[in-house]
Amino acid sequence: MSSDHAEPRKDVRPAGGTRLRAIGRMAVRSSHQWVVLRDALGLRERKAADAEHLRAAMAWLCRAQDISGCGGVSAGYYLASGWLPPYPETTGYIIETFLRYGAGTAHDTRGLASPARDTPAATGGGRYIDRAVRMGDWECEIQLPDGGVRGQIGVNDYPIVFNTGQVMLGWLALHRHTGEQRYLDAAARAGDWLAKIQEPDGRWVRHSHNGIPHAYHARVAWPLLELAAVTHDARHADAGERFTAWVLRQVRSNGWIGHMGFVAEPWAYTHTIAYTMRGLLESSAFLEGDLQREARRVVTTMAEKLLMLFELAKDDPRGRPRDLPGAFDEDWRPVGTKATCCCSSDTSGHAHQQVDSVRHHGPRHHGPRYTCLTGDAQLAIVWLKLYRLTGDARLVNAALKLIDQVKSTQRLGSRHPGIRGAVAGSYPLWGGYERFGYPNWAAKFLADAIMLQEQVMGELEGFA
Amino acid sequence: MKLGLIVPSDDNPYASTLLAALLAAGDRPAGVLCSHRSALSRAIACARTQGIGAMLRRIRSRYDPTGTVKDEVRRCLARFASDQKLANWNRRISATCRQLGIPYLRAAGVNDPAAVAFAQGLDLDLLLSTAGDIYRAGMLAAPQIGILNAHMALLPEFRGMNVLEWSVFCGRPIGVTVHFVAPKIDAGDIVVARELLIKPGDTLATLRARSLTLNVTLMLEAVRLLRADATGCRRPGDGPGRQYFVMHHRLRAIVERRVQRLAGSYSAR
Repeated sequence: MSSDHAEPRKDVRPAGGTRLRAIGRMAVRSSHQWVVLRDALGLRERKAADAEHLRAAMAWLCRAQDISGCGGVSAGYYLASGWLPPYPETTGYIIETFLRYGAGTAHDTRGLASPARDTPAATGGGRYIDRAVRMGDWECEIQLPDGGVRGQIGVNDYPIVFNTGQVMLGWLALHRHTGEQRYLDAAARAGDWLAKIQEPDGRWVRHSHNGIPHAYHARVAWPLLELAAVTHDARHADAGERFTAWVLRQVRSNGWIGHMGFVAEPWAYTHTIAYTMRGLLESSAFLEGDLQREARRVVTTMAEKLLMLFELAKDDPRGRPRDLPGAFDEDWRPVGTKATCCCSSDTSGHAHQQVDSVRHHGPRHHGPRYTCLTGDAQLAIVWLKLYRLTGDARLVNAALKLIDQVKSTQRLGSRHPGIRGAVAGSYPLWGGYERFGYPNWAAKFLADAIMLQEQVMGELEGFA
Repeated sequence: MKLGLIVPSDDNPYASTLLAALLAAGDRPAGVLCSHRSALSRAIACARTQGIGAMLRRIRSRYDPTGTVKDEVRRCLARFASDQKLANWNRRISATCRQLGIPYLRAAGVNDPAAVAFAQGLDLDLLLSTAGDIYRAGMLAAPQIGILNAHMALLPEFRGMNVLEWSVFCGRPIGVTVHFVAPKIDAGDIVVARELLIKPGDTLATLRARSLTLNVTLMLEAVRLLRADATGCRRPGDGPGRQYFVMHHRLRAIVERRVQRLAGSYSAR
């Protein structure tokens, strides 16, 4: 598989053999047949209270951690291959979700963050914090000597830029929560490595997924800036600022940012679009002056664009919006997947050599419709956070609808532990993103989205 | 001035009240266009584009078991009709048209070729729209002066859907604006606008119902103003403002509480 932990998987659809295995598994497992049939008929799940959806997602994440047996969280459950090995990158950013949920169970007044019922180990907020600590310790154990974080799923021997940034977020969250120096030290070593391999113009190319620069490395600049705010190390602040300045130079007049996708082609999943937006938005909190203003202006423009694309796509003006397309091209047109192989466009280099067995595929504009559920949840988070900055209530409104749509695909009643509470990569399951799979980051971002939604709604309802 | 009327269904109480008010004012429409698609055809279209699940959800969401909003609208319009001494305000529109010999067409939508041909054939000056549809170029060009729409908020600040609720949510004055329909949603020239005050005992349902009666009043006023001076009464509608969309039920619940709080505080004064 490719060099980047979450990334390589995320833009790969199962090869022929994998698809056959998936079909084979579906034929023998009734739980698999049922989820595929429901998606085929366009049937959504019965929506439950937000607390139920959140509990189910957290319980699934707990199972994904328990199944790995090492503290890391399994990359996900896939119909073809079952539970995958732990994923360093996403385990890193799941840490914060557990800390927030754990803290919520300790101070919960809305009944939102009560422990997952079907998790034997869950007896209160402390359990979730213990789990987060185990994740952080595992990340420390497997951190490479040079400070980088291992790429891809499992424990591999090469570092990847993006993964390093995501695990830094987890370590920084643990340091904030526990005050333990070792997490800050691990984050600082990772930050040193990132600053060392950064190009003079601010982007990261070496040890980058597919050996190309990515705008979504804004989620790497964010932990660097956050780290600098704690350590006051100018190298980290400078690296974060230089990358932010580079991303802002990629902004087009229509709001699109170049290099937002996994591949060199000018299209991106909503997953990486939202990564880019979130990275810029969070980075802006640590920036000042023109850089801060410009970062926020760019995110606001993109958020407004996506709001319109979401809200205006409906058959009846009074009806609900359709699912947000899973990917867009540089003209903000919805994109299907898999028309031409794009491996030839990859730049050669260390990362590319590791992904040469992976088939990447360019976009086509009239492919089957699907939505990228993790991208939806991530976008809802960006809208909710942006609402707090701008006060534009339409963003909360759209976020509520988008979260509802993701919740309506989450199976709460399945007897299968890999499916119950999980969130699929795509809806329908055979959509272009993480086909027939339930990646851990989809459950993580839904849990984050629900927790943030309840915070924002609590403020609004209190004000009402 | 030759008027036409576009109605969303044959038994829409707002549209039938407006027709009754026009007739009472001596403004007999030259034709009435009903843009109603049957429930079956809408269900089939929904199932085809969004799947069976979406169709079932839509049917369920349209069903109002309590009938609260519809009942409130009828009650409010009945009071209005009684005050204005309007006859047949609650009658089927097709029946009124048949009785008075007014041409009536039921089409699959406002942009349906048959609907456009019908409007063009009537050689209209002005079309009054009571349907919340989006009009395309063919229909927009059919009447000489344009298409008038009554919008349930003060333009240009609140464009789009559920704008009464959005006005309350944002703590801004509520009201009705009669404006010309333009290619950009709710951005056509404004003819007349009036604020709607929250009264003691108001709820969201009563506000929506009272807003509909104000729609009728302002539509008639707009026709009168345009008849007196077809250009002088228009002011640009494409000013600063935002387009709003269908409000999520959780935000609507907040709005409901705010309306009741405001209505309560007014009654306490």
